[in-house]
Amino acid sequence: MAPVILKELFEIDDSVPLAGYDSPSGKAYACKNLGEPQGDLMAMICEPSIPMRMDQITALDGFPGTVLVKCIDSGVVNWATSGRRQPVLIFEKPAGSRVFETMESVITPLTDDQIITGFLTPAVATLREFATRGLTHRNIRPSNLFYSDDSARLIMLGECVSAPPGYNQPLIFESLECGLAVEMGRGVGTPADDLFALGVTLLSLLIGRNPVPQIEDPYSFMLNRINTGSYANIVGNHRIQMNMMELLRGLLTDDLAERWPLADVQLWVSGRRLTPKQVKLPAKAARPIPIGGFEHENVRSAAHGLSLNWPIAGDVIRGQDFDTWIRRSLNDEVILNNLNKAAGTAQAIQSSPRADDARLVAKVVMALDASGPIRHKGFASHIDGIGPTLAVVFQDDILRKQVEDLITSGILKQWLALQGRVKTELMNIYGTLEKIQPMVALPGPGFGIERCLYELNPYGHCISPMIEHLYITQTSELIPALEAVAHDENLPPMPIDRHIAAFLAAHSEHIDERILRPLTHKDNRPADEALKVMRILARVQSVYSNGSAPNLCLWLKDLTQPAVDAFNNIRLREQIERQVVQASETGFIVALMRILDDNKVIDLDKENYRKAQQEYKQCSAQIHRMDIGLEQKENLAGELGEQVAAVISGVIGSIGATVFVMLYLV
Amino acid sequence: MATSSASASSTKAIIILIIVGLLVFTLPTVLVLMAGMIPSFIAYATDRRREKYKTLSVGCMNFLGLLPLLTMLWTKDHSFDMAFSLFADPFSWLMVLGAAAAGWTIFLIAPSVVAMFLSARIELSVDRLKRRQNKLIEEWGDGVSGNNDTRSNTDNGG
Repeated sequence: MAPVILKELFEIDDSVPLAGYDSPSGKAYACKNLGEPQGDLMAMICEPSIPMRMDQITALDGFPGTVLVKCIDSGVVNWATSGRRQPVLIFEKPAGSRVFETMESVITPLTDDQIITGFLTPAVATLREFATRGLTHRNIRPSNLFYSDDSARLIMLGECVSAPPGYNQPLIFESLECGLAVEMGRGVGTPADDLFALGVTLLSLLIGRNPVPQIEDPYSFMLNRINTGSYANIVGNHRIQMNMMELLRGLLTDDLAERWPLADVQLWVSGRRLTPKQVKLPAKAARPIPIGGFEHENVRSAAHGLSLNWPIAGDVIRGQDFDTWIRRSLNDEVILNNLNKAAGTAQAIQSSPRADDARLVAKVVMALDASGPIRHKGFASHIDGIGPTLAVVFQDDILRKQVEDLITSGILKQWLALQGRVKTELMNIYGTLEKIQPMVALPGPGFGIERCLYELNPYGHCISPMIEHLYITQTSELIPALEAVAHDENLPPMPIDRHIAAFLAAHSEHIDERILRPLTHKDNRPADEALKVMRILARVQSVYSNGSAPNLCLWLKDLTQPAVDAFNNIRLREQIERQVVQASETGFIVALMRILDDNKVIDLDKENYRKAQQEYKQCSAQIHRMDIGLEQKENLAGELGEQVAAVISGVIGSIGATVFVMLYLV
Repeated sequence: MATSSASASSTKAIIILIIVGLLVFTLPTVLVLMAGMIPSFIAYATDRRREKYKTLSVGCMNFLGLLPLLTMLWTKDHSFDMAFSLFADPFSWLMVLGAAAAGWTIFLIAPSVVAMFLSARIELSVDRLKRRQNKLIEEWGDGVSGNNDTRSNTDNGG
């Protein structure tokens, strides 16, 4: 097979897979730079259905050091193996091998020295750079670590851009805040989440294997972590040296205020040693509250229980027992305030209608665990995880409905009210969610859940069944993609579907609601839908000026044939047919549109047709009258004939008499 | 009012007196006219139209045939003898009746001629209208005739 060229800069050899460098969401292949040599490279052909962190790629540009597998470019290539276009990421290839081949691998435990100098020191520096740039790695785990060379002295962090944050992370590597969300919705998180993952990775290196290789029941596992702390549940009975215990306790504590920041880790690496402190457990209520058959002793546990048992949680929340538990047993002013902010007073909660249970439960859960994910109808995601989740689960009707319900539930306002300082990025996402909430219910193309998908995934590709395989991420690529589709024999019914309309509306400033709204309303004009589609595509083609599209024009020509046929005047119709053929051959949709969308000509044709119909009717009426006249000609001719006879006789008589008198007188 | 109706009655009486006077003084002429215009009287009697087209047709021609006899009467001898001698001449009757027959012939033939002319004119008009209709169909298709008019149903919005 011929090598695949990306942007005329990189040559990807699809016959040389680099299995040791694969990631869960992409396969690695040999790659070389066609320009200036940049050391060893590898190309990762990514799973199209999993959104990549494109903004992270840009933000990591110029990242210093050699202890991170850096992405140096990205793009889309025609991938012969899959017979479609796929996204590709170009990485600097680590010179050494993977530290853990898989999460099930067992290796020789690393020594303290190896860990401190070979792993922690560079990892802390890397995470400091991430934090400085306002970024998080969110993909730190033993199977995403590489030795920087064959000597296996220095360990580098693997890539962090091929999947949504935390998507490929096993549950134990996620902090409670992120781990309670679905894999796709774990969100970008904070440096504290990276430090938690660093702690569990560190533990894996210390013991040479995954500390919790199997989780039977994720719900119970998370519940245990909430109640007895992540440290106890992850470190468990593994024998850890005292000096490492201090670091691990600092990194694996669930209390964000207690978790070591980077500076503390740096100090520890530099040699500061303190007496290990016990991991602080969440404050217990005076008595537990039963939810779904389990006694919950703290707020986060109760929130977890309520969110997982949401169908019955409404009754629990409205019950007097819950109110008493919150006010008396828990005795936490912050939680009470949160509850008031999110769900209102006790009276308001108790008088809340049953139909509103899902929203009520979500608000109460939010109030009990404000730093956790937003949980609604059994679905849990951080606000910045909603977009990636929608992208991954869009084809799953149940999960998509859950995301849709969350967006339309209107509980995001309460989420915002409960947050302290919110990052600009999250505020932007909140703004987008607020903007699209009313659009979800709109039925027309360009709106609905598809619009949410593209608004929330600005780098996402269009997943219209027509062009999904072409993996287009920019509106400027749409016309060439449709031109490629139009080249096939089996054409879809229309060149624009709900996905393409939503993709255009979300990603192009030139296609606004004014242009899309007509797609919602039908009128009686033949080929009406095709003409509306043609108007939109004409605009896209003229805005992006990306060449002619003769096949697409031919497709549109066929679709708009009824509009041509609707011209009444035969000569005009033939003339328009000739013009349409000529215009479609040019490949410019605007030319086609100018002919078929000329309302003056259409109106004139209509008016003249109406006049012609009237004239035909008048002619018919006249013929009918004359036919009757012909039938009654004897009657008509009788009277007229007698008149004529009288006149003729009168004239002859007058002339004869005059002539006679004159002759006689002469 | 009474004055005006009295004057109208007196006018009528004067006119009747004048006519009676004239008739008395022109009795030979009256005799010739009464006898010669018999075909016209017959036409009048058989004419059912209010407009009396038949009477006019026959009467005009009849009078034309009688005019030479009247002229002879007035120029030669305006007497009963002359009047009787004129009617004794068969040629006179031939002339009078021939002229009346010509009038009658005109009256009988004219409607047929007019009917022919009318039907020719109507057929020409029908042909012209049908040609126009065909031209409209050529220009606009069958739909313009209202038969099989699928087009007009579909282009309401267009």
